[in-house]
Amino acid sequence: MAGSFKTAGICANAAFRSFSFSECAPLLTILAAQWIFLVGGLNLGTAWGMAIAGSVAQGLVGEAAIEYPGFLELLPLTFSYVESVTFIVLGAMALPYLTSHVLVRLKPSLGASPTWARRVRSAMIPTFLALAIAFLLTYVWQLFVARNLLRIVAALVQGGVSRSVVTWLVSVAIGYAITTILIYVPVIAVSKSVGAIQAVRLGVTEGFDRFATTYPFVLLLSLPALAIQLVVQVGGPLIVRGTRPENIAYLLIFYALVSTVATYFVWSMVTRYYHARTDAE
Amino acid sequence: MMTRREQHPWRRSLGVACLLLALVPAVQGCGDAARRADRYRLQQGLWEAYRAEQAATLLDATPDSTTRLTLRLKYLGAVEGASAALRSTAMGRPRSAIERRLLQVISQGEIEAARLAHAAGRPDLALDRCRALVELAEGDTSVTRRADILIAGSLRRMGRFEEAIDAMKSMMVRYPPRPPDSTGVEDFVLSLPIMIVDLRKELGDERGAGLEIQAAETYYQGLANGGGLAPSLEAQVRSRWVHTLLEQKKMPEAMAGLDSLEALVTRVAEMSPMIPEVRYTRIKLRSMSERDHSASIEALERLAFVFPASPVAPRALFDAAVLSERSNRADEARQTYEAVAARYPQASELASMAILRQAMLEDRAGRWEKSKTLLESIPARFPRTPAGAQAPISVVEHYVRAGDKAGVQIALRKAADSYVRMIRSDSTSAGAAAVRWNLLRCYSELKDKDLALKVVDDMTLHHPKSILTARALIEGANVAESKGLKGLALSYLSKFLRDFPDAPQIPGIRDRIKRLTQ
Repeated sequence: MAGSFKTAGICANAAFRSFSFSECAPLLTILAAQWIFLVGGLNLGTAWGMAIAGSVAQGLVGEAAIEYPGFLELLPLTFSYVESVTFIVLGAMALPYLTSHVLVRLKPSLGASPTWARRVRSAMIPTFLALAIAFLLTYVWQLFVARNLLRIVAALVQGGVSRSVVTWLVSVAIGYAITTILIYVPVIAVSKSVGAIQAVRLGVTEGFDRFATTYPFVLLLSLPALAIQLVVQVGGPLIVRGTRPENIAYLLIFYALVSTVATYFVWSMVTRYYHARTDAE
Repeated sequence: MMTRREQHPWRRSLGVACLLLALVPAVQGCGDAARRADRYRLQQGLWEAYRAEQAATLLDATPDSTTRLTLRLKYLGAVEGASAALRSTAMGRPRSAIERRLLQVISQGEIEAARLAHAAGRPDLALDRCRALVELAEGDTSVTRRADILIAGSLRRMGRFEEAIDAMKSMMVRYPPRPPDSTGVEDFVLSLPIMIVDLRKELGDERGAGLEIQAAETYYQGLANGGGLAPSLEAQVRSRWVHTLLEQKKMPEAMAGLDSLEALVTRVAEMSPMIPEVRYTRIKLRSMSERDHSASIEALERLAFVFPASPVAPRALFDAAVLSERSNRADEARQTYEAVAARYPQASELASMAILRQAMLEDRAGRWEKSKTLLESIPARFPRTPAGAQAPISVVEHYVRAGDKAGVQIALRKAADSYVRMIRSDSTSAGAAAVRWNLLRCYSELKDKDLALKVVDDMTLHHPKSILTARALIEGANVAESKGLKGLALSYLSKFLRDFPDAPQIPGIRDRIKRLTQ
């Protein structure tokens, strides 16, 4: 059974209504790492800020990324790398625990199982693989965007801002589609006693099966974060040149918070959605 | 069953993260994070100064001197701390890479401050700061080059022309010219010899200009024959060399130099932007030895049409107009002059001269009203050009030729007002000598003797070596004598003897002094 749109909607609603800080807490490690980078970036004029954010930015983008206002101009790009790395590494640890918390809340008997803790820990490897694969596919897609999509959009759409918005929309739509296909991997890795590769395989199959009903809700739940991302990506240069350059960092600090909350809602929803199906079976 | 610790492993991660953060201040002394942070703060300060300048320019496109000097202080405030820190740490050891980069940013701030000091009419402020920057740079030529350019510019604007020339000559010795960057713009050092020649000419020192053009030829010849130059730089050097030969009317040598240049430019693909320049020079050389200029006029016009964006295009068009004028093709010349001013207003010297020539032709054709409108537009549009200085006097000359005494008086008064405005906007440039000389002529004709004498004093102060000042001293002596001020007339004549000992008027001046002292 591929699930229904209505069930997915109910699960999304439930994810909202049953927000719990302890379920969300594992994701705070990702948020903390991202905020440390951004706060360091806001204090690049101090030795500690330069030692933290400066060395990361220089390593990722180069010398231009530790100059003023170059650092802030390049911050959306630098932060997208930091976001990816923290999400892959820390997310691989946090997502199985988030999924575990939601599942135990739905079915308390699962937590009582003697193998549960081991299963949650072992779910980190397939989750890492899934997130890494999603990152690589998104990266390849971004390369396509840079090489071909910009040209195609330029031929079809008039006006600089409209082009940027359309390019961003297409780029994000495909990027989120890739994530949606791999979104069930942590849930299956925690729910089933299977090996890492098998968990990825089953997760991808599940992702394809439920794509039509999951994808709209993934986009819907991520909408606030996407709106800020649109402003940062498309209007970034304008914010840096037209207002105080530091505003881009403040905006990204807010984006990181909203994005973390969105991540929680998305995985809470998909875990519930998966559980609803298996329960029905 | 999961233990509490197993349920919340992220707490451990947070603990590790906090520990790592606590370690950062301990290890930040290692590496150059502190120096990089210094540079970042400096760039932040410069950015704020830049934004303040942008805001001031939005309110007023040409801010007054006080605003400019206030903005200058913002740039200096940003660099002050970093300069002091660099000065205190640099003693006795070579600078690290990050310290050199910090120096680069400091120099950016100093250069912006110097630019504002110049714009505010205070080159003296820029001079001192640039000298301090050279000292701080400790031989880092990427910084001293820029500082030395500003030093020479400041000296020139302060009217210390001989010192400016010395500074430029010293730069020619110390800085070998660099190949052009991707935009093809030549290195500033390469233009220095010609700048010195032009400065001598502006000062009215024709003999000095002649000597300098010979020195320029020797300089370019030495560079071209020294070898080891990148093809793009060699082409620029050879082009300059050919122009110095042309200016000295050494035609066979210029032709030979042009052949070498053409061979080089056609051999190296990246040199193709120089092709218009080579063609232009060849046409000019040919026009010097021909009687019928038709072919040269056509070739110059075609060159400007085919390469409209080339720097030689306005010169080609202007020369075509001059040749048309010489060939008695007045209508064609007038139209071409008009085209130069319309198409290339940014080439201010040529554009203003083209309008002046067009006005002369309109006058000759009997269209005085149009001519007058054109002449009156030049000082307003191009105040710091030789044509700007000439135009008001040309209006006076028309009324003199027409025998209209009332017209002469009105035109003289208008011309004097124009010159006063031009001097007020730029009182220290070398070109201001010609403007003051014309103002003196106006006041003498208007019998404003006190004002005339004040202009003579200004000229001796601001342009002591100018040939125009020599003429002004004689005119000043005439005015003083007519007012019965024998002592003042004697002092002007004595100054003439002292400052211009090689002038042909010396015997006459001696006789006049003898007569006045009897």
